[in-house]
Amino acid sequence: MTTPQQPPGPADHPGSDPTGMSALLRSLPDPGPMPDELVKRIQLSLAAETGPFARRDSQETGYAPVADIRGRSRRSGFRPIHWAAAAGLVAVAGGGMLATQGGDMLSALSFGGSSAAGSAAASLSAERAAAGDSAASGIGSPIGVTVVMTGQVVTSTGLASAAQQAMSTGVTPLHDLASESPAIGPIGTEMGARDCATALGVPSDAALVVDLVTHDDSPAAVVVATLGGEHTAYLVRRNCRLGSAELISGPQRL
Amino acid sequence: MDGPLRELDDRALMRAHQGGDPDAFGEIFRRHRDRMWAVAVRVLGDRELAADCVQDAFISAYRHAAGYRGDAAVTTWLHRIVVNACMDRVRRDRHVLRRAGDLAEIDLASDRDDHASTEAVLDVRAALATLPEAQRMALVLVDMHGLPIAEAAAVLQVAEGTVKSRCFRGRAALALILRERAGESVGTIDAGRASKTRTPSAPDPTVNLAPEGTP
Repeated sequence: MTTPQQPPGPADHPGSDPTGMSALLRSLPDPGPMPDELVKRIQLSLAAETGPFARRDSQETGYAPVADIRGRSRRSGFRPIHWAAAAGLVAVAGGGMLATQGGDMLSALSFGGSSAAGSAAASLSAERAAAGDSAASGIGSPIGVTVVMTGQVVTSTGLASAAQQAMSTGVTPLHDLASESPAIGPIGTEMGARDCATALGVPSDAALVVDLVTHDDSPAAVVVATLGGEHTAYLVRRNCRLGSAELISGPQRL
Repeated sequence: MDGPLRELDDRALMRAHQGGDPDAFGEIFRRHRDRMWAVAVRVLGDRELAADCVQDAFISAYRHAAGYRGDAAVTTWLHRIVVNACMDRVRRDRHVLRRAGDLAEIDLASDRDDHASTEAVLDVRAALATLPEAQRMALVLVDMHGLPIAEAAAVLQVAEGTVKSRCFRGRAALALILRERAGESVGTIDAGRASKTRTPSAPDPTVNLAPEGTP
């Protein structure tokens, strides 16, 4: 697949190259096929482009609106990468972007409109760098766990608006999720958040946004699980863990 | 993957994608991912950076697909996007090529457990990294990646004669650099097995005098 597409012409290659450099360069090792992990990573990214958070509309690109695309009966190319995974990626990559950029996710994904696609790709890189390259780091780790800290005070009846706030406003995600902070508890780690979600009955392939909040003057967390494009919010105590959900309010469909 | 999609040619897939088919671009990705990965690795000489760039490039291609008019082959269009993404990265992070020259493709070469091979590859990559960007890109696309001159010209958006000239000058400069680095010997690698040997066919420095734009 990565070998030359066709035999080189006589004017292009070794026969006309007295230096021997052409042959030397052609003999360098072939990079081989794209690694499976990267294939999956890109498929997730592309699926996210068509998923629930897709930023495009038909007026801008000529594509069918997202709702139309999702309504089509025939789909298979990215079918294995179902919406949950796509949403997971968006929660990781897009969530990082929205929290970092201080705007909503769609504007964070916007392009500069340059004619060179490479420039657009570069701006994407910059965005990802700004977001701590969370899209890349999301692979191989618990999928789609984003922890933010809005510090908002949440009441039992205000769960829906708090969850929307957690997902849509610019807050800096906590990047160091590997180790537990005594002030936060296990729910501030990827594994802890996933354990809490499991205790809440959330499927393991759901994307999670965890917002560290306050409830009744006590530390709490809003957990938003996204699966199949649907968001469900829970308000839990920070010691939510496997076997003990510590549920305060919810589940509430958004 | 749908059977019907696999039967479509690239242009038809692009039209399907532009028309909103959610699976069409997935088939384009499947068909071209290995080639695009290869060119990114060859341009950057670093698999990790190449992974980032090729991912960005495919997302960019997806988003800009509406601008594809079918004037060039899809593979040429994709190559252009990937190469631009890689070059943007190189221009933004000047250390990239330095890093490529230092570390390039060690993992590839070391598969053979051949120290001489690895050393030779590193020498070549390091030398390549010192070339002017235009020459380096021409050599990567034509000599390393095997693109025909015409397609390389389309990717780089220059005349075919310019690509030939850049290749000509780049090869001469590369040979000179390698010769200087190895004393009087020039590193050559047999097509089948990489090995460093002496060769009497030292490059002619005068070939570097060919003017830009001449074949």
